[in-house]
Amino acid sequence: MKNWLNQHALAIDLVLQRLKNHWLNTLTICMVIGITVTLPGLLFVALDNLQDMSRTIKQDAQISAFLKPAVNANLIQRLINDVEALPQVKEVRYVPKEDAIKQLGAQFLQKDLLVDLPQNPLPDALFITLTDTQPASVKPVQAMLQKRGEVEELVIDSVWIERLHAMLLLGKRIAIIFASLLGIAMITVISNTVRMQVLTHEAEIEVSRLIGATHSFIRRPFLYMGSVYGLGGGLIAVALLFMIVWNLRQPVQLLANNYQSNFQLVFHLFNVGGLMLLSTITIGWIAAFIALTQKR
Amino acid sequence: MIVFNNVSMRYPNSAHLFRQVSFSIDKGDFVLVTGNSGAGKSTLLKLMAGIELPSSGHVLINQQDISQLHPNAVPYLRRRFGLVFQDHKLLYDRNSFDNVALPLSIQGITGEEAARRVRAALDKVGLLNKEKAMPITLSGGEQQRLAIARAVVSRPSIVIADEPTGGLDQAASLEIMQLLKAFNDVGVTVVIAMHDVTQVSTIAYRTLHIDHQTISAMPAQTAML
Repeated sequence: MKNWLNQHALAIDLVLQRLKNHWLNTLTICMVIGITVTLPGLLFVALDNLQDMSRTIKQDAQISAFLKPAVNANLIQRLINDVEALPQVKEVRYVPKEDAIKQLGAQFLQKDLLVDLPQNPLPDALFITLTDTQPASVKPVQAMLQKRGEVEELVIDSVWIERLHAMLLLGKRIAIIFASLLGIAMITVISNTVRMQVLTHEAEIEVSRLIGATHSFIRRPFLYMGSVYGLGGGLIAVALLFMIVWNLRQPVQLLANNYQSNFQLVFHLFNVGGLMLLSTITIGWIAAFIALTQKR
Repeated sequence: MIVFNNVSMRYPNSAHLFRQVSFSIDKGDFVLVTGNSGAGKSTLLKLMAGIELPSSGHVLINQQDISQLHPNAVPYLRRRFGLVFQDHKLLYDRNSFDNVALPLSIQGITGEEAARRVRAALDKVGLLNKEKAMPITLSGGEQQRLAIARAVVSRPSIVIADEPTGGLDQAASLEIMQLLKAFNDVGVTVVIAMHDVTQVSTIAYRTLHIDHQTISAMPAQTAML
């Protein structure tokens, strides 16, 4: 066990020495990887923020149920009770048609505009706020109301949320495709670099093999090298993203304020940043593995 | 210790180097493998070290048939040998100390223990004062002594040297042979491939002579210049 750990420590030490000796080359490769990863990273950060925003907006979504004119107070109360009993429902607000016409009248400058109407054209209405307005949660409430004879018309405010969800899903797919393509580019860059390193150290590999080095011993420094390139590139990408988000934060906030929103651009360092680092390290390792496999 | 049992060897698309040869080398032997260029001396050493596998027959190292070994076990077999090559096979981007430390690194021996053993090996070959020197700055004889230090640092029971005096002058050659004999004197089995036996001076040795695809083993004798 101690020998095994020693061998890993030796491999890491050797890799760091080699990278230090060729620091400019190392920096260039890490920069290439960093910039390559920053592009899909930006897309992920944008989607992450849009998703956060959609979660905030969703809390205001509601279902408006307009009732038939002949429905009496008892039926309305029973309907309210039935709706309130649903687990997806947070609040039910009943607005009688008399209150609705008053509110409508208050919005007009010419207050007597509605006075001449022969009868109140507005229906009684229920405004139902949902606890969870995910599309899957809206459906049961919608289905229940549609079955009830008291309801004449339903207006569901969550339709646009469904569209937003669909757009986010599409955006995620595009980001994944984009990231996959750039991941392949990254694998090619790292793989070629590692292969060149293998060729440079061919004499050492041959001697090591002759005097009893295992495949693992020979491959280990190169696998670490790929991972270190990935780590370096990932760190650069995280730093670049952090700077970009920091730079955009104020203009985005100003724009959001103009739309009466508290939206703030954020970069989840541990979630998005951590995932990016893990991805780049893994890609680096895979690229080195491919380079070594091709070599044999 | 090393047993060849009806071993034949031929590389693909070429003639047999030897056919059905059998011999054994005992612990503590000092053996010279002689023969003309291309006779198969280096191949014989490679078979002993598990670098090549025989076309047929059995090569046994400490009663273990190397043909039966799993490929993953071969590196561990090679660690029992100290290998010295004619072209030294030193790493020219590392200093003397690091070159000698390589076999220990492969075995996971590092730190103080490794440093102590490396310095002991360098001391034995007379290069302790050159542990920081890069191999390129050493003479041919010194480079070969460095290669011997690398071969013995992991305390192998067998040292196999392929033309260790090739390209060296008479004095340097004698120095190398005396060094190898010194290891033999403390119980290490030494097998050397060489074409010029006059370099062995007054060393007592056994000979395996390769000629016309056969190997003739000769009893111990003492060479005289």
